[in-house]
Amino acid sequence: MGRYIARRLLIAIPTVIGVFLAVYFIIRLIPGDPAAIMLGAKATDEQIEMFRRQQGLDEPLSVQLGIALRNFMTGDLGVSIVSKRPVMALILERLPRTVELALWGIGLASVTGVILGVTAAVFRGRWPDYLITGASTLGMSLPSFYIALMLLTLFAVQLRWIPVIAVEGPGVSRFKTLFAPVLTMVIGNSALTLRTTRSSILEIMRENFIKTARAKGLDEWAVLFRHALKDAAIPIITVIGYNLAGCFGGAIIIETVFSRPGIGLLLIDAVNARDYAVVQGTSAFISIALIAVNLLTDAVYGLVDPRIRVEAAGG
Amino acid sequence: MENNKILEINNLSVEFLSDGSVVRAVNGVSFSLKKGETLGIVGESGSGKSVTLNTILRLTESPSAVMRGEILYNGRDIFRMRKSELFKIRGKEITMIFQEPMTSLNPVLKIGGQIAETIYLHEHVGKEEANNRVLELLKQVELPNAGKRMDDYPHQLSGGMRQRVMIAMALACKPQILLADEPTTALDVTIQAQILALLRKLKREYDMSMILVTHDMGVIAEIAERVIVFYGGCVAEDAPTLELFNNPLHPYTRKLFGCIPRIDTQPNRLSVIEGNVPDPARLPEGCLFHPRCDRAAGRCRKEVPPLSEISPGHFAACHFSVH
Repeated sequence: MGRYIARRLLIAIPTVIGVFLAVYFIIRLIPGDPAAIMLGAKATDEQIEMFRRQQGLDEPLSVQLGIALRNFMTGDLGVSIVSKRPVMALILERLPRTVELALWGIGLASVTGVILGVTAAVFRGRWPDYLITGASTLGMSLPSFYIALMLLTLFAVQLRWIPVIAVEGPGVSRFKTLFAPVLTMVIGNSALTLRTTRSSILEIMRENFIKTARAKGLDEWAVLFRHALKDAAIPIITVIGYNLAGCFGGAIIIETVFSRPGIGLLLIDAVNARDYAVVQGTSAFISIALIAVNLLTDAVYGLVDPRIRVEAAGG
Repeated sequence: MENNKILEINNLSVEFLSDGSVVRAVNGVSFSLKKGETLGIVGESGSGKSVTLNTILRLTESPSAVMRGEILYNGRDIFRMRKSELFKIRGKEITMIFQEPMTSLNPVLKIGGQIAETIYLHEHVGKEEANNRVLELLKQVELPNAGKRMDDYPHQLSGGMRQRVMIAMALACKPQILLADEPTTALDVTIQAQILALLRKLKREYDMSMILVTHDMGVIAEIAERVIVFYGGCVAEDAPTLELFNNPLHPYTRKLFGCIPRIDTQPNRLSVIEGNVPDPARLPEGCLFHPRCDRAAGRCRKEVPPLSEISPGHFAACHFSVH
């Protein structure tokens, strides 16, 4: 298992560098000079020229890339041209909010998805099944920016339960800042978990060892939870891992709609300001997080299914 | 005499509704199992023998299954039991082993734990005692290296070893009746012989009754004291094993014996029973076997022959076997 993880980590290095390069060139394809945007419309050509020199923006692209890549390898993500603060500090400052959103969002989405999926499987072909799978179609087809906007309108504008800007303050508890963004994630992410759980359970319930479990004298709930669910877990974990990886991208939209200052909002603001170093650093950070989540998912497979442990040890 | 019967099945029928048609898997089967007896049920695939066996523990129950008749265990009808009573009988008093040892154990749970689960379920025992009992059971079923194997997962064992684990699981709570559904079909011939010998030994040690379903006359000869021949979800013949082998009365049984190669006769072509097993969705009228029977007469096409006692203890369902 240790060798397996080491190999996966080695493969991750070119992936991260690839993401770094792709972001590097794409951000520079967006029209707009960072110096001009920074200094505003009233800046003179001399001021802009001086700013470009200070920031190293006058060097050839290859030189700039070389410096950026070297710094990146040593863990230096550079300094934001907007706030003049190190990018790493900005990320670490914003990270807890995004992690909080991701863990609550995906955690609750997974629990909801598995519970509803099991329920749908138990009541297969009867009305609870139709109700649950029908609702999941809705959850899957609605884009998360739409769900987020609807929830914002409902809870912040109509009912005034939550603030429009999701920042803690007097009279605004952490729960109030989290509630609607997490709900958006639950609606969007539980649907696939639910469907996977349902089909996976239905498939497992046809297996011979389920008959063995019944023949032992276990009641249906014990058969379901002590036997079927653990066997059905691999596809469910895959989907949860996929959701967790995808939710960093989803956080960009959700944090923007709810004005929640996390990594996603940091990235969007940086793109708008052509704050190259921040865009670069944040996207590299997100890609590393994605790779970590994928690795974690693989490690969990081994915990759940002993047959995978053997393959990993042999390979 | 009556209380000698531990299990009595009266007029059992099982139908499955699928896509608007009715599949009649079992059609009015009656037989009984005496205490301490080993009963063999033999028949082709689709003859309803496995469905009958599974129905004894109500394992065929589903929204699309219709079951009629009665299954009396020690005089009490299993069909009329509440679920809670049924769960106490399953795995404790009546247990079952299946045809596919490769897939009958849960692949993600340790085998020791799977056996212990049955013990915990039916008896109040501590962890240590349960572990000791599991080890003892694994030794009894002659699993090599039993002590180390307890923490193994099913994929680490061979088919024969897995069937031994299944047997250990079935014996865990000292059952009254062991139901074996083609327990050796999926195994190599040498392993088959070992498993049969093991079942015979354990049946004696545990003083159980046993029903063994198979399509293999050799297995029947090896282990059963009495045989029931199934055809089209009905009992064609029911007789003590020796009597059936020496004096088969039903034309179907005779033809079955004709299909078995013998070492002491000329190597002629093996005989084949023409035609197919009746489709349980479209059963023929009259005697179910008449489309394949050489002796079929007008009466056979209209009247269902009753299962009648031809000689003491020997029953057959054929209009001609009376003579």
